[in-house]
Parts: sequence; C-alpha cells; structure tokens
Amino acid sequence: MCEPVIVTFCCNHCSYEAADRAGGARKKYPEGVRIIKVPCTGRVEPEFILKAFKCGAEGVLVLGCRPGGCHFKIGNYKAYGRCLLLRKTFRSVGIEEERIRFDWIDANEDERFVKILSEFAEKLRQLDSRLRRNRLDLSS
Amino acid sequence: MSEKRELVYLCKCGGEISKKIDLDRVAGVISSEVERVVTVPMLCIPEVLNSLPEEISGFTHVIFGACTPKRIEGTLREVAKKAKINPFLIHVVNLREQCAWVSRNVELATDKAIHLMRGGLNRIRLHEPLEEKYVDANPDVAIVGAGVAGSLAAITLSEDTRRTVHLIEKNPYIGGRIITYELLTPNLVCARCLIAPMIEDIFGRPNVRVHTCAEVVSAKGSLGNFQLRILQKPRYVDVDRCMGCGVCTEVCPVRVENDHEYGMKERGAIYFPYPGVLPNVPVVDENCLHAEGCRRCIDSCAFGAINFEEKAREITLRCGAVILAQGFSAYPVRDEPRIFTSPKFERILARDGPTGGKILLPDGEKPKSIAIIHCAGREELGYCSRICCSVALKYSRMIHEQLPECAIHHIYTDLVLPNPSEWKLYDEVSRIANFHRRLMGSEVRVSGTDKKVVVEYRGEKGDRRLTVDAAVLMCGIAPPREIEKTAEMLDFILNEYGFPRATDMMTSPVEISPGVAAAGGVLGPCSVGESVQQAMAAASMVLSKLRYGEKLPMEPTACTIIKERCSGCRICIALCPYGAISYDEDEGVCVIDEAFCKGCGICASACPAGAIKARHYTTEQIFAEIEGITGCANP
Repeated sequence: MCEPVIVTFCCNHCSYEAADRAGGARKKYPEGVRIIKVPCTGRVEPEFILKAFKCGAEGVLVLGCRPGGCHFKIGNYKAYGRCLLLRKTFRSVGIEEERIRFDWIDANEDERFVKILSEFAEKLRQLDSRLRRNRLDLSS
Repeated sequence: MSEKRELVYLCKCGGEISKKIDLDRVAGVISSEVERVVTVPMLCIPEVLNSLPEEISGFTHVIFGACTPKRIEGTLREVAKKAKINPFLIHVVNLREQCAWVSRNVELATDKAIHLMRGGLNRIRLHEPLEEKYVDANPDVAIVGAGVAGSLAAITLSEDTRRTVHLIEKNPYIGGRIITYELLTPNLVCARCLIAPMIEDIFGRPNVRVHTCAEVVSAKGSLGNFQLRILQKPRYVDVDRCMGCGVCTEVCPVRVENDHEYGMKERGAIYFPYPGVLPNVPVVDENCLHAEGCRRCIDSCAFGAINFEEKAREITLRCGAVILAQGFSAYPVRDEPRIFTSPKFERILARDGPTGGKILLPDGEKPKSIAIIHCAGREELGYCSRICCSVALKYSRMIHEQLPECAIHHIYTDLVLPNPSEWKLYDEVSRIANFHRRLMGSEVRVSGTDKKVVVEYRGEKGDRRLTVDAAVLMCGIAPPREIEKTAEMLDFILNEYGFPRATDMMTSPVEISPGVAAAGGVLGPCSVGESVQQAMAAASMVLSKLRYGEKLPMEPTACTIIKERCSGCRICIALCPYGAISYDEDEGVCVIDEAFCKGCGICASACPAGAIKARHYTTEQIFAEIEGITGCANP
C-alpha cells in the first residue's frame, strides 16, 4: 500500500522537539510523514504549502507552538491565520480544505504529535478513497 | 565560487539507524550525486570526531545523515570551523529520531531516508556561508525600584566597578516597603537592620547612580542595548547643600496627612519621608504654598539649599540590561478608624511609627480584642498571596507581647505556611490566639461602628458574628499599578493575574524578556527572603549575559531586505515582534536592524515582493527541500 506523503512544517522550538521526543520514545507514525524544520511557523509561506502539493504531497501539516508559547511571540498566530486563509482559498477552487491542517503543539506533547499525524494520515486516506469512488462514478 | 565538492556522512549510530535503514542502499542511490559518501559506525565518538576536521577539510558542503540536529549540529558546526568550512555549509538530516525510530518497515524507512537525504542535499546546495557577527553591548544596568530586591541587585552588580548601576526610584527615598516594617516573619528579625546597611552601602558606591523621585517614561531596546527615558520630579531641595537639620520642616505652615504613616500622622509640605531617611534631605510636595508667596522654609534654611527654580528633568539612560523591582501593591485598600489594612498595621507596630510602636486605637485606648482577617481580597484577586498567614502570625506574636490580656482572633480559610520555621511560629501563636475557620467562598463582612468592629462570616458551625475593638485585614499582593505600561515599554507579557510572565517558569524564573529580569513583589507574592533570592537570580542573569568589555553575538540567520525589490509598503514593520524593521525615508525602502532581528522569518513570509531573505531558511532553500523530500524533482 502506498503511504500518503505528508509534508509537515515543524517549528524549531516546539513541534520539532515534540517530533524528536516521539522518536526518542520509539513511537511509530505514518511512514509518509516528511518533516521540514523552520525557525518558527511564522516563516511558513502559503507558497511553501502550495509547493508541497505541487510536488505531490497529499496533505500538509503546520504545527506551531501552543497559544502564548511562541518563541517569537506571534509567529504561531500568523501561521494559523495564513493556513485558515489558504484553506478558504482551497475550498473556493474545489480542493478539499482538510488537506491543510494547522495545529498547536507543545515540545512535550509527543503523544499528541503522533496522534495528530495518524489522524491526518487516516483523513487523507478517506479523502483518497472518496476521490477514487467519485472517479469510478464518473467513468461508469 | 569555485567548484562544489560535496561530502555525505552516514552514521549507523551503533546499529540504531542501520538496523532500520538500509544505509548501503541510501549510499548507493546518492553516491552518484555527490563526490563521496562515507558510512561510519558512530559519528559522535571522540575517535571519529577528532579525525573529522581533517577528513572533511577541502570539501565545500558536508551533509550528515545522523541523529537529531538538536543534539549534534552544534558539535558538527565546531568541527566545520576547525576544518575551515563555514558552519552553515554543513547540514544534518535527522535519520534517527524522525526516520529510523518511528518507522515499522525497513523498506519504507529506507525510502524515506533517501528522500530526506535528497531534501538535505537539495537544500545545502543553496546554502550560503553566514557570518558570526557581534554587536557592542553596554555593561551598565538600570534597576527600577529601590526596595530590598532592587537594592541588593544594585549592590551585587556594582561590585564590578567598571559597570554603572542606575537605581531608579519613584519615592524621594530608597529602601522600599521594608523600611515601614518593624520585624520580619517568620523569625522576627529586625527589618531595619537588614535594609539600613544596604541603603548606606548604596550611597557609598560611586558607580551606583541613585535617581529618586524618578519614573521611567519610555524604553526601547533589547539585551545589550537599552535606552530608557526617565522623568525626575523636582525635590526643590539641593541634595548636595542640605545638611538634613530639619528646621524647614518645622516652620512649614502647611499640615497634611502623612502618607508614609497612612494618614495616622501629619506633616508639612516640606518634610522628611520618614525619620532617618536616606538621602537625609527633605522634599517638597504639591501642597506647598510657595506659589502663593510663602517663603518660610527658604528663610529658615541656613545653607541656601531650598531652590524653587528647580524643574522636572528628563534623563536619557543607556544600559545593557534592566531589572524590574518596583514591588507590589496591596489589595484591598480600606481606610476606616478601627479597621487596619496590613500595611497600615505594620506602622502601628513600628517603633518609628505614629504611635511609637504602641498598639493604640484612634481614641487612644488599648484594644481588648483584635480580629485578624486572613485572605482579604483573595476571592477578587483569584489567588492566595502566600505570605499573609505568616505575617498574621507575626502580628499575633507582637500584639501578645505588648498586650498579653488582649484577645486575638484569627479568621482564616486555610493556613498557608510553606516554610518550616513558620510552623514553629504557628505553634507558639496557637497557644495565645483563637483560630476560627471561615468556609471557602463565604464572605466575611467587617463593619466598624463608633467603638466596635463587627466581623460576620460563615464558619464550620454556621453563621458567626464577632464583636471586637479593632480588626486587621490581611491584604493580598497585587501587581504594581503601572505594570501594564512597563510591560508595553519593555515588551514583556503579563500572566492572567497581571504579574510579568517569566520566559520559562522552571528554568528561567526571573527573566521576563531578553535583557529584562524581575525580582521581588513585582513577580508575584513572595516573602522578603524570596525577594532576595530573586534579586540574586536577576543579578546573576545579568552577570552571565552581560560581561564587561565583551560583545554580544548577533543572530547569524537574521533576515535581510533586498533593497532593489522592496517597494516600501511597510507590511513587515507592523509584523516584526521585535521592532527591528524601520523605514528609510531617503531610499523609500524598509531596513532591518540585524542587532534586533532574531531570525523568525515572520516578515519574510508576508513580503508581497519577496524582498526579504530569511537567511538559512530562504524560499529557494525550502522549495528545494520540498522537492527533495517528496521525490519530485521537476514539478
């Protein structure tokens, strides 16, 4: 079975640390997850997300620090806003907005990190099968 | 730039990586793309690390497939420096924590590892050597508030005589709240004996500049370079000429309530804040009749020290760090004849107070019963102020010593006595005072009539009513009034209760923003002992970060604006959390001050012209990394 490629933007201070902790605890998560480290989720341009989709990613995750926990004060809020806007744009052009997900995560939340990734991968699989069904309907 | 020579290191991590990832396959796939691939059993052992500089020297880009960069990147950057390679031309790909350890399947893990390595390779080809830059740092320190915390920090920091410490105090004297106390809980030691030598010491130090009657009106900057503007109100008495004889205070025709004694005594418009004050110089307040032609104090002064020409002064201070120690405010404030707030009761107990330390009611009688109400204001404040129980026990002890016949009633909800020696005090007091438990959430009503105070509350056995001669309200500790303004000026965050939030409660409890520390009551409820600890912590933070004659490193990955592309729209200025971006009117472009930039890249993501380059995380580098990790080279 082909694993959906999930490009995940992790901030250097919280979610990247959570990812390392998940690894340290040998927690398994979907193989398609590819993590890109950014200094702060505020650095994630909407273009990065579009680029990931253009390169074949099935979904993009942006994981910022918990509200109030951003090392750069406001970066996570900016990232949240940008993701929301991009989701709206996706909806308006008929792409499933669920393919972009923003979430807040603290450095010690390795458990939740794995949960978010697994849920997201599952969601993408559902979207995929729905897409395939629709295609079958169209061709028949 | 000359030819690129790329080298790849793959670490087996003693099997941790190699048993999940087929490193031979990884090496095989990428070996065609780079000059050389080396697989080592363990990268971080001294034998490998020691020979590494030699091995990698001559190459231009080195990429390591190893454990998390958080663990090893720093070490490898040092190795790179030894090999005369710019530390930003090495890159670590996280093959252990984010690949080997989280995969179930060797096949898929190896695929993932290849993709991750490709991402890293794509990225490092676009890396630029980045310089480590340094900025001059001012070793001087500004301390706001000269109470026990501020004074102690000033003494500690001024031990290095090359450093100037500015002590900014809004009152005309230094010493803070502690000078109004007689004894300190729980060991009942003399408060004056603690603070008086410190005050004297401060005035004896040439490198401590004391600014009394002064308040900070604006501030900007960060660790190493702050600029503070302070406004100093006129004292109207020349500190250098005045002898402190006090003749002027006796001839003053004005009589007003003495705020130092909470209105229990009168003073003139020219007055000593308290007996034995330092600096031992009187001060003139706004009640003065000089404007109406009164000249009595001027005529009485044999030294010509009184000068009504003096104007408020604005002083600009430059310093490298700021310590906030302006103390707390007491809550609630109530002023009724027989109901004392705890700060006011301290003055009753003080030998230099309005009654000379005698516990007397406003009518001059000695009270026969006193109720001490714990937790006044706790419900409104939303937290326990932690030190009041101990202070209440101190009151009990002091009342009993003076008036052994006086009945003492403690109305408490919980006894919060975190220090073992406070329990010793409680043991003593429990034999001389009555303790009545008030139920949590029930209100306590204290109402004073002419001669009596009535205390009503809900106890464990229903509604209770107590009639006493006087009541003491144990006030809660609230943030200082001006804290919101200070927070805005010095750019720190307040917690839900309005106290400054530490950058990390556990590991950096006194630092509230880069270069700004706080100590004492301003940080939240704390005892004198804890204030002292926090002051020492704040001073040590400054000492470790701001060393005399040393420059401060700048963020090498700071963002920069490409002038030719900038349209001057100024979107970035509003976004920057550090105020590092300004607009250059002459050129019509925005400019980033790299001394203040921390390299977050929030501005770079928002620039509509793509004019901002977030160094080491450029759009091109991230795009290249995305292409690599998704395995899509030419989308």
